[in-house]
Amino acid sequence: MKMMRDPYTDFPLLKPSIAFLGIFLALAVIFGYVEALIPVPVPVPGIKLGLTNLVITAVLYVYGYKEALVITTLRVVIIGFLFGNLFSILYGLSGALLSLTVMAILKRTGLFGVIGVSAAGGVAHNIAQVMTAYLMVTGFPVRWYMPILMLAGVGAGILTGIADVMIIPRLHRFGVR
Amino acid sequence: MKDFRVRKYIGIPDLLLIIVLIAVPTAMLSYNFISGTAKDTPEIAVYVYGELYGKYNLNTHAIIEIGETNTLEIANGRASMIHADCRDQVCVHTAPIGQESPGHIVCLPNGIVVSVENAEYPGNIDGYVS
Repeated sequence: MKMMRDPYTDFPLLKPSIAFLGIFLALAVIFGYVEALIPVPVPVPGIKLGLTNLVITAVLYVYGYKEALVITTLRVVIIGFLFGNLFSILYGLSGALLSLTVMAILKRTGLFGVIGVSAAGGVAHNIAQVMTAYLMVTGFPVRWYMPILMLAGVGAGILTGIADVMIIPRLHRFGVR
Repeated sequence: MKDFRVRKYIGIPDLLLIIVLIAVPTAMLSYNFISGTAKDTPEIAVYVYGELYGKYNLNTHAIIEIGETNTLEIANGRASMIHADCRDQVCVHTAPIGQESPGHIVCLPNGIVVSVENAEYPGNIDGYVS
C-alpha cells in the first residue's frame, strides 16, 4: 500500500475521518473543563498547563493546519458557551488562533520538532491573551504579566510537547485517521 | 504500520528556540525589577470629569480638598471621602479604599472618581479562560 508522507515531519499523511475529528474535539473540550478544575499553586491568574494544547498539537501533526484550526475554533466556542461568557470566547480565540498560527508556521519551516513547536505555541497563546487583556482592561499591568506568562507558556509548552512526543506515534500506531 | 519512522523530536533548533523563549521574558523581568519597583507603589488618583486632578501617596496622612465641593482623607493606607456638598452623600458612605480593598469612590454630582492605582488585586478571579 502506497503511503503519502508529510515532507517536513515524515509522518504518514492520513485522510481525516469526521469521527476521529469529533473525538479530538470532545477531548479538547473536556480537557478545557478539567483544566479549570485543577488548582494552580501560583498566585498569577492565567497560568495553566495547556491540556487542550496537547490535543491541538497532536491534531496539527496527525492531520494538518486546517483540521487543527477547525477543532481549536470549535472548542473555544463550545467551552465559552458552556462554562464561560463572551469574553472568555474572545480571550480563548485570540490565544488559540495566534498559538496555532505560530505552531503551523514553525512546523512548516521543518527546523523544529514537536517540543520546540509546542513551546512556541504556549508562549504565543499567553502573549495573545495578555495583549487582549491589555486592550480590554485599562491599567492591566502588562509589564509584569507578559514575562511571567511567557515563562509559564514555555514551561507548559515543553511539558505538553513531551507528552505529544509520546502520544503522536501511538495515535499513528492505533490507526487514527 | 511498523515502518513508521520517527523524526528526531528535539534538536539544536528547538533548544535555541527554547533558550530564546526563556531569555526574552527573563530579560523583561529583570528590567522590571531593576527599573520599575519604585514606580509601582500604590497611589490614590483623583479624577474630576475624567481629567487627572492629582495623585497622592497612600502611605501619608493627608486631607485633600478636591475643588470646593469634596474633601478626601488619606489615613492608615486608606482613602475615604469625608465631606461632599451634595445631598445623597453616596461617596461619603462608600467604604474606604486602599491596597487591600481596591475599588473606587465616585461622586456623581461633582464628577469625581477616586481610585487606587498600581494596587495588586488579590485573588478575585472573575472567570476562567481556556
